[in-house]
Amino acid sequence: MDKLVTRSTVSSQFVDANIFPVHASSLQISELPLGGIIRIQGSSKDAAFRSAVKAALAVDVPPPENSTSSADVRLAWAGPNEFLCFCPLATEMKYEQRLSRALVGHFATVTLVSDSRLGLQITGTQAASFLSKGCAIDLHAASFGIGHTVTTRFAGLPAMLLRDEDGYVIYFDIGYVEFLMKWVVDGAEEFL
Amino acid sequence: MKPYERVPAFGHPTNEPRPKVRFIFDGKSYEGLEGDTLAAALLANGIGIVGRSFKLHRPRGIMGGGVEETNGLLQLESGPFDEPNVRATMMPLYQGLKASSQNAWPNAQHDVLGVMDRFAKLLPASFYYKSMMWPNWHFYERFVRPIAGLGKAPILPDAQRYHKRNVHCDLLIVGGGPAGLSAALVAGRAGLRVILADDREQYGGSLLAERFIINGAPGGQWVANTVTTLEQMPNVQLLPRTSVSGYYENNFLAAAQRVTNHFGPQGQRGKLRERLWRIRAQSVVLATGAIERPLVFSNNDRPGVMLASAVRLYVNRFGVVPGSSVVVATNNDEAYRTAFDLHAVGVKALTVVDTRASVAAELVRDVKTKGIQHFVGYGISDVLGARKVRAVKISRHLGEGTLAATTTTVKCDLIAMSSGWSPTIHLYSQAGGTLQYKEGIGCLVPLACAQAVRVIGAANGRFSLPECIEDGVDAGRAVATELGAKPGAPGELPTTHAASREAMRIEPFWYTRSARTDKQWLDFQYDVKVSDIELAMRENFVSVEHVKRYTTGGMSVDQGKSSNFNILAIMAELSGQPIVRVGTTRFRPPYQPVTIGAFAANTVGELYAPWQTLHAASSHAGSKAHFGDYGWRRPEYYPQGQEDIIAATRREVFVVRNGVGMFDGSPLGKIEVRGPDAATFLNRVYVNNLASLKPGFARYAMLTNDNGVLIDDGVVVRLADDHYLVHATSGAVGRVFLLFEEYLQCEWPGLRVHINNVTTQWANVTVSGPKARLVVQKFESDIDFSVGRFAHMHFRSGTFAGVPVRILRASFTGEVTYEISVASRYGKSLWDSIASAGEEYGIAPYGIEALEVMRAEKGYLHVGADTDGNSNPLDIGWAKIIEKKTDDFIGRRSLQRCADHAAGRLEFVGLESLQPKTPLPVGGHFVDDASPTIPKASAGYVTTACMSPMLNKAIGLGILRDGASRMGEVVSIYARGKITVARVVPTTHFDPKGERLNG
Repeated sequence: MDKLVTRSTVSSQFVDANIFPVHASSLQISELPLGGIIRIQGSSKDAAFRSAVKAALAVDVPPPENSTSSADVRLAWAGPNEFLCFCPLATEMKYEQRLSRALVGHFATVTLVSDSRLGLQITGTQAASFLSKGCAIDLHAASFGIGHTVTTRFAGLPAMLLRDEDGYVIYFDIGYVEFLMKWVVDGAEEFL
Repeated sequence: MKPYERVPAFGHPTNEPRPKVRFIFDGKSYEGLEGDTLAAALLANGIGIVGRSFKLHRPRGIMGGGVEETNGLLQLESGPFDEPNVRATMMPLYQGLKASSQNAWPNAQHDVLGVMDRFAKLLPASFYYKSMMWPNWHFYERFVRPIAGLGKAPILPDAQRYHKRNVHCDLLIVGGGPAGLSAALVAGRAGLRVILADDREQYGGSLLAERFIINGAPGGQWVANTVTTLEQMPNVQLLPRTSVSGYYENNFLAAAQRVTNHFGPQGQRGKLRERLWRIRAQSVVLATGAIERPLVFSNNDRPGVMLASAVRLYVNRFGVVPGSSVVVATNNDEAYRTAFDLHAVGVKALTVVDTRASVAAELVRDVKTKGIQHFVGYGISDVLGARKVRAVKISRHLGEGTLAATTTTVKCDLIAMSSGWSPTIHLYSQAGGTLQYKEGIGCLVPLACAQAVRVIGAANGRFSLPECIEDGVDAGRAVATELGAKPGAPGELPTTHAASREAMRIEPFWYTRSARTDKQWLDFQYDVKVSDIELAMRENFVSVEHVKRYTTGGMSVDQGKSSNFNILAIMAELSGQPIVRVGTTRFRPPYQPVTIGAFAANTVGELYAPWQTLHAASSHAGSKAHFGDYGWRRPEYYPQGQEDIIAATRREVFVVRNGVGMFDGSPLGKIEVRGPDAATFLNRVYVNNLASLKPGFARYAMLTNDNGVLIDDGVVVRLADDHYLVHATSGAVGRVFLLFEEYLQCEWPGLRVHINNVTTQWANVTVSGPKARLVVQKFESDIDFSVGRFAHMHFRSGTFAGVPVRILRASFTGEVTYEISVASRYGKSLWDSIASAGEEYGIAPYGIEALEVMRAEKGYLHVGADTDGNSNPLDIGWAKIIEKKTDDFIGRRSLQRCADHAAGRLEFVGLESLQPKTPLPVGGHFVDDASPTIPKASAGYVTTACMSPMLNKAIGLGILRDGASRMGEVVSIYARGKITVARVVPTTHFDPKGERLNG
């Protein structure tokens, strides 16, 4: 019996290749391939917890509504006692184990959630206008700078939205992929 | 109907003729000019009657110029573009526009129901409450409904597209007239993020209706220059054709933008028609202007009676002069501008009838030099001409609305009336603002509001052009300073006339006391007259909210924009109270009609509600699955060949019971519970004892709320001392997860527990049946599946087919079942591999229908189907389990109440039909006697039923009063006029000893 096969992206199962990814001159939307996502729960107020996380990931712990990054890790503040670590797929076990080991003795929980999320990358001059159709976050450059990270509702779904150097990244629960693809294609149409 | 000759629009170069635009009204073809509104074009073509009034079907002609229009409501286009009640004054003309009159048959000119006017005496306000009562309203309803209403609702789905967008700003300015434009200029220059919204086709507000000069040129030039300047500011967003329709809490407002409406159906193809903007503003400036009030006199509703400001708008903005001999009837100075403007464009036959006792000498002189007839201290006692004004009768005004008996007749074909102005304070009131009455200008103006809003210009009772500009500049500076920006040096204000030139000097004339009150109109759309107000108040409906509903005044499409204040003032007169004591009715969004499409935006069709999709969806589709919507789209059955749902379900049950089947259980809720206090937490939350569960073991557990009512169930697995995996039903996992979080954050923050909803992290394939073991043993794994090594209700972690796996032996079918979970990246691959491995054993997929049949055969509870909002654990036989548990749990206290364990409660039982081939009706009520008549007392109901393939008979489950002590009894079930008879049996119909399950 052969080993099971993994998927990288899922959107192609649910939407035609000539309408998604979106490649308009002012708006580009594509699905991020499967990557490592680790949920870290612990007390943000606890300095020892914070240093353990920093040591394990070699990246500063971000303040509320922000992310910090290194070469292969982005650490996002996801709530008062919660962080999400994004890393390349090949490193997910490595970082999960490093975090678990560093947090032994702390009341902290490390959970791999890589498979449960769908990530979209949105770039272009109309990226903020497109996103404003799905969520009510103030995306003006002055209010939403690079590194800014929020949890919000997008198209009625819980989502995490962040801004990086290239544009925006937004994560959803993977279960909604088919609905979301239809929403995205419909919402992007006016920018084509 | 002769078309009127056009005059040049004020400020429009005469050597730039406007292109012609063809349109159709009531089946006839006409011509207008580019830039016209539909109303201007209709007037220009001499069309005096555009519709009929709601109740009495009196002829109606265009009365206003914009949002206050009550009469010019037309049905626009047809089919998928059909739109009722379109205000002709707000609709821009486009090539090929098709419109028709409403509430008239065959057309507005000749309406069969025009005869209703003769019965006006029988049809006062609320006549239906006195005449249409016996035997009941429905007797009359069938006659009333076809003739009620104005426009007709579209039949076909709207073919047009709508979207929404959210936007934030420092300052939202509502209204793009001189006040709003001035504010935008200052705020924009100060670097604020500004949005300037205006509901008309172009900026300028009421300035476009006047012959005012700014900086030495027609006002329109200043508007155009200002708009150009604003367009070049990157921090200013201009939203013309955008009606701010609602002002909600925390400075959140909604605005409906007409993106392509002005292009008509052809021009909208493939484009967005309208967009709803959801605006969050730090500060709001309302520069919403004011609306002129009709003067109240006999037959003031005739076609040819218009608002004085509307006449100016048609003359000055569109070059349409809708009459050749005009009477201006007024109680203030402002309306005189209509006479002067008409004079300026060459109208010779002009008369001003002024109800005030005296007017300024200067004004008298001005009127006289222009050769305009002047009647000071006179009022209109009647209008002659039922289908079109042909003359007025005027008499001396003796004071307090009383006119003398002797009349003079003045021939005319147009009456331009004015009873003063009402500031447009609707959004302000929606925001929670209060109002005060200003005696000197005879209107309500803003008083105080808790939200960050300012009201400027005419909306604040400052009506003159220089005051509006000044207010705008001041507001712009104030907001900029407030928000920490630098307003910059104050520039020079644009030069215009003195404010005193526009002084109103109003003397209220609320209605004509000496004339019949049943001929003086207040609400032109709904035929509400002064007599209706008198009637309402006579019958003791004295509150303004009651008078509104009793008379329906102010309840039509215009929502009383031109009638509310007159009604208030008359109520005040009749009751001898000041106007502020009468108050206003509550203002609610939308300020103007907003099409439902804009509120729905893209949540139509498939996008109406989100759904979740299985990882192996394409594999299910490949097996011809018939999907159902359960929040997740899931296979209900997999029909082979010509099978229907019954045949497919039957076959799937046999496959599982006799061999092996496979089911996609991925949506089953999975919540990880970890931490030193995990066991304590779960023990408090669940009815069962979960602290005693050992690692590697699983236990079926029940969840109740603090009222002791069952809300969910599921198998709880212990992985380690401080690590549990809780399963919840797929429909409830979201709620259950939030409930756990609420308990941890609000009730027991001291407990060291972390939870994670990992439902979509793990994909599942459930392999079930006597041959299930054979299938799973074909895969490479470090888990020992052999008999006796992996029992029912046990759990293993390990590797399977090369990847990490979690396997639980739990069953909802009653057969040996392995619930195999892998990281969902492998979900489809796992499904396909198992399908392939199981081929030699005849494996086939089974869906939800087969699962439900099998669990019914086993009597397994389905929370929410076999339980209702009252069911507690005692009702399903859990008394002993609860007795054994010593720790407290949510709901324990409630279960101790008498009522929670009283006799007569509905208890969970099994049922079998006395006639094996007669199915039991789900939802059928248990009744005490076998007669099929109702009403009857219900003793519970059938909750589940099916034709059991294994037992070849009709079985079911239900909740029956005292069911647990009625085993073996025969009961009657009532459903849809029939009685079915069943025997009460234990819930487990099939394999009661669980021999198959524990195989």
